Amino acid sequence: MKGKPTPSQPAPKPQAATKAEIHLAIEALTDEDTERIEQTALNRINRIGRGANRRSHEDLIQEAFIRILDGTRHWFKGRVSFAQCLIGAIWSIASEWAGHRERNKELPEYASLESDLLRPNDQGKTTSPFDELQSPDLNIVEEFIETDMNAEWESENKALADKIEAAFENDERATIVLMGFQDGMDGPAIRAEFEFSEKEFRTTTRRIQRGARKIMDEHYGK
Amino acid sequence: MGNKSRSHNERLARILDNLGHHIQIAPGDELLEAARENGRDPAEVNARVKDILRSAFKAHQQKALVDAKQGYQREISSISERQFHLPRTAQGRRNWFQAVLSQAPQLQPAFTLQNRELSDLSDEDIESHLKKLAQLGVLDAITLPEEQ
Repeated sequence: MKGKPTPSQPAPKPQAATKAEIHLAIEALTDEDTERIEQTALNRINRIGRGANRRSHEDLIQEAFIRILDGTRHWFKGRVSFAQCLIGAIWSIASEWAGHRERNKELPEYASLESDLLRPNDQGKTTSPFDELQSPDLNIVEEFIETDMNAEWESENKALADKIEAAFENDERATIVLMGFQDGMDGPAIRAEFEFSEKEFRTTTRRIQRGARKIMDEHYGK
Repeated sequence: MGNKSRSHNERLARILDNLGHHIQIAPGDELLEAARENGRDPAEVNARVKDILRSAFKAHQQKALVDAKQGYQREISSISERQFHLPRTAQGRRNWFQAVLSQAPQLQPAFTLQNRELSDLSDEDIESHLKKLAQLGVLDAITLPEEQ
């Protein structure tokens, strides 16, 4: 005789890790974990550029961890490792910082000093862009700074993207992958389109990552 | 490929986003190998990242402790600063005290009434007990008789 089927038990609710578990997880981080955390934080700081507002990748790691500690974000032990949770928080906070800058460009914390905009002219004399304004109205000045800053940022990013492209101009696969990235393609799309094996794509991306990191480090003086 | 109208900010952002995803999924030994090839010491990175996390953990714990202490101090201050008005007459205060003991009989042992009648308590004792009960907020939970 068959017994009644046992009703399926609802999956237990995931429990957020305790402070003690988080403390143990810090001590258990391997070299691989910390390398991935550090590289992610550097990558995100470079990605958000001025949105970082002079904060370093170490500030980003710290802020991400504080969000886990204060319960703003939770680490569910059964779902992901502590390192994965921290990396998720790093991505999220970097986006938040970038979004904050985008919405609050006019705040003093994001403003640059007029001295940042001083440039030598053809005669070698230092000039300010405000020299051309007869009586600077505050809104015009702010608009001027904003336009100038955006143009400067765009030009800085052009130089960086060009430098990365140039570093791989003799590497056909890397050039294809870089072009694909810039056109909005992700890894699977590039692999399918250009018939790269998973290994070929990964080793190529690894080369680009190494080269790009070197270029970014040199650019930001690290 | 090659949409030339895209902004340079977007060009760089897309490269970095894809490299960010690569960092997330790349095998750990590859990350370590790349670090060593670039002259970085993964053990030093490990120690530095752990230091950041340990310091933040310690600061968070200390802040929690300070918050708890401040909360306790605030509670103590609010108890000692609580305003209350006792009945003006001794009989009125005695009626209040009686009301407390009848509505919260579990408090009786606290006033050592086992061996004493209510009438044995002096007016000063009753006033002092009522003040303590008021400071502890007990009177807020008691229906008190109107003063005659």
